[in-house]
Amino acid sequence: MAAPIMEPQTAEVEGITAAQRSNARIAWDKFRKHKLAVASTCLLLAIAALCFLAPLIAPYKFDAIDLRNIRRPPSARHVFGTDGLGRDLFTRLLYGGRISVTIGLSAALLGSMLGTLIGSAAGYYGRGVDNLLMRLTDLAYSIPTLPLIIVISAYAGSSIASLVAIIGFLSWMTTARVVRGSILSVKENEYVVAARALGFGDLPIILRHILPNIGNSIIIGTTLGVGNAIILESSLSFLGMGVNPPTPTWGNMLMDSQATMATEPWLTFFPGMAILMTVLCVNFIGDGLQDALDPTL
Amino acid sequence: MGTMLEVKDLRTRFHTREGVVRAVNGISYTVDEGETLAVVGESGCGKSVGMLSILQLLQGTTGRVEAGEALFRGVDLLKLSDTEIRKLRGRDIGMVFQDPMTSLNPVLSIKRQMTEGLVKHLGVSRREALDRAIRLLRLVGIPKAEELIGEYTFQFSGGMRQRVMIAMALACEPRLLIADEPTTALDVTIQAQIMNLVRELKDQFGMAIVWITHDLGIVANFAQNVQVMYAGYIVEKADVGSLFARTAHPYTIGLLNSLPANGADRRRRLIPIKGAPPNLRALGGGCPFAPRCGRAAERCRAENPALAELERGHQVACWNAGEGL
Amino acid sequence: MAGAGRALVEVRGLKKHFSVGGGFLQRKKTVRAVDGVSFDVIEGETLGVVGESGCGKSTMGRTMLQLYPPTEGSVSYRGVDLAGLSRQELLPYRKKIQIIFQDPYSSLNPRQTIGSIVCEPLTLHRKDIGKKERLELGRELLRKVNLDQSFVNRFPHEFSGGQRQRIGIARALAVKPEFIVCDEPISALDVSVQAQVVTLLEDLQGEFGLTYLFIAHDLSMVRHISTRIAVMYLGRIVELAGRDELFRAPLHPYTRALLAAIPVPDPEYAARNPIKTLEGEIPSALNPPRGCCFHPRCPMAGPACEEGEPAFRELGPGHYCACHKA
Repeated sequence: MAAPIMEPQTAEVEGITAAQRSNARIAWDKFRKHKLAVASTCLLLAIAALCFLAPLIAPYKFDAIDLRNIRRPPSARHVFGTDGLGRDLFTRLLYGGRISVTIGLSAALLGSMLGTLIGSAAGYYGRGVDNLLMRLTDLAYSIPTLPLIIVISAYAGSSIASLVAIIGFLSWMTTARVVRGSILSVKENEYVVAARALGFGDLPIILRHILPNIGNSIIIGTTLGVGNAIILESSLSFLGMGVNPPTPTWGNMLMDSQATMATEPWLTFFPGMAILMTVLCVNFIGDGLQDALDPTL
Repeated sequence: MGTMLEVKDLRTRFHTREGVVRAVNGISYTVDEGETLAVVGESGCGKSVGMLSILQLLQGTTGRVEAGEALFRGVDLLKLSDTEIRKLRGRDIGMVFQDPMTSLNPVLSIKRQMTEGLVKHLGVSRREALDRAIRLLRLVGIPKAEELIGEYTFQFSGGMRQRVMIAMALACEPRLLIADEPTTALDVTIQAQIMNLVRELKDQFGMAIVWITHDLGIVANFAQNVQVMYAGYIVEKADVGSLFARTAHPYTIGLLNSLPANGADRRRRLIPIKGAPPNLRALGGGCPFAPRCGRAAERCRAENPALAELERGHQVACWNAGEGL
Repeated sequence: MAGAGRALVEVRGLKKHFSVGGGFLQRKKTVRAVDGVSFDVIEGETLGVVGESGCGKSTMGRTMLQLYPPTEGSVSYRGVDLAGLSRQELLPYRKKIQIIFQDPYSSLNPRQTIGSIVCEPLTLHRKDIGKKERLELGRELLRKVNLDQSFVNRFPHEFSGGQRQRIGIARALAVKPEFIVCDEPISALDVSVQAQVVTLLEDLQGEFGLTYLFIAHDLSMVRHISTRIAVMYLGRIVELAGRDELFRAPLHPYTRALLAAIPVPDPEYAARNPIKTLEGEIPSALNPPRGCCFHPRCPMAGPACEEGEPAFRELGPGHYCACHKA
């Protein structure tokens, strides 16, 4: 038979040079083209660096009270102003970020890992397993989060590690549902049947054929989780279950400033912006990752 | 016999991010009253886009009709306003598509969808419209039409939906029926039912039919005249007998050779057409089939041949056509 | 039931039922997708399976591969019953039996390169060779299906339907199978491309001595490629005969109706043999008719047909039919 070989219409000139590049390299090259994602990565790294180098950078101590300078608006001496006890807001923001960023990222990762695990099992195995896990998810959804956290943290204490664990273990449900739904549609694809016909077991099929094709849902779940985790931590702090004063977090700074929002807006504005910037950065990075991992783009 | 539809030099392009897709590249043809014309070609040859263009159904896509006329009983369809063409579609021109689900409204009952058109287009009373709709559903072979008319399309099987679609297309007794691969998604026994049904209805109503298909079997069984399309051009055009008996264009010949031989128990090896259809974003100046054609010469790659009469009523666009095969 | 050659696959009384619905307070219903089929696949032949959508032909193919556990019955490969074997025990047979699919879009993982798709079977079945050799074999496979070797680093979306179909064929060939279930491999392709794939399958059969189960709804293509043809209706095989025998002297009224409904691309033939239609529609496999499943649509049906299910019996040499009237 004569070989009906044609250049595929979308074939790019890159095709040849691609031979030498690994998949990771291709993904990285595509990620670099996503300007917003690259900018977000830089910004997020900068925020993290500032926060973790806080002891070196911060102009004051985070718990240094200065009663002669309370509730001062931003000025040369206090760039972000001071709070009700005269503490420097910029300093507190830097220190607070150490906890908020750590908790936000780790808890969201933990939550989405759990959610992916549970959602994959439910979606892939179906039937009894699915029923059991999804009822468990419904149950987890229906339990009011805060009282449960209060009970758990009363036992587990309020170290950062236990906060990450608690928040992570309470925020997997959305990811689990989304992942399950995506798997239900992906697993019907004939390439999954082909892999089974070749004799592959469940684990390689899930890892190689299913998870890569639902990456988008997982990434979206994780990015949404970051914001939630930061806010959830602040609710805990507000209730006295999270990080204890005077240690600052963006969450408790935001909570503390609620009453005086009208008169001293900077106290709300700066922690709010910090949370917003972090969440936005994570979302844009998620966008960039999705595009980078999609071979059709 | 009078001319029902006359299309002159129709050109349609899609303006996409990756470039301009030249979907229809100057096609001209006529459909006479009572004629059944088959438009044949493979996916992406412009056979559907050509029809959607003249019916002004490309809105919402990046497609634009760049040039041409489409005279329906003397009126240029391409110059009609939205309201005017909408009046014509469904009344004078009936349409049936491959996937009835996309053209039937799932949240309206069949009764509502059928009678609304009748009331609007023909100005009959609701009572009359309902009677007429039930008669039509019976005509297309839907049992217990008076009961089923109150139901919704998703409650029907594919074949039944296609019948409903045909009943709706015929509701206002159109002069022209345009059917775009109406049986492609159906099983052969259901396809046979639909084909025979349309044939009977045609005899009864005397309308002209344009039947778009990729199936040469349907063409041979159903049409009087055929035009074969490739890469947005009409490459061959003839009455059915002449097309099959004296096939002239290498593409048409290739299509026929790709099919298993009929009759006798010979087991002829299939002869596929080499390669794949051209990229419509990058059509060169030559004959679009030249890269896949075994007989392509220098001239074929440089100049695109126009349709030329080979014998009475049989036209072909090929530089080598007259030279015997 | 063996004909001339040796039976490679023996299917006996195979049934596959699916339960659907059965949510809270709902009764479960059973879809009898495959409802008792028995036949042999002879070594080196192409057994065509035709039938309309919902007749269970694809389910039958997949159940033969143990992709669905059979509800009842056996599938023996060279004398070994595959039903009930564990995944590990099946592994040697997975190398022997492969499948190619209908939808060129869903049959390739969009995130894998062509090289990775074609070489993946080797990671499981050829653990003795290294990555480099695997890739070399992968290139060789692409050559076998008339694709350019340089495609290994590309992704599926860059290819046309016909090219994707070949990539799927290369993947199936990677394990050097003896028997391939072709599950409507040409239904989604354009006419000229169908011929490309069919000739490729014929060439590969000649080169490797493959045995095919060729599932399709297009009778003319099945007629072209098959040695014998089985006709399915509502989960059962109603007729099985040699290709020419089936077309010359069809015994079952359903087979006759199918043959009469194909539009033949020849106007002279069409003028002499207008298309005939079969009335009615295929009943639901949730609730198949009693007796002979075809009797509600059958022009020859009599009282006996409503009562008993007709036996699938041999009415001529190698010609089986399940009909009371045949």
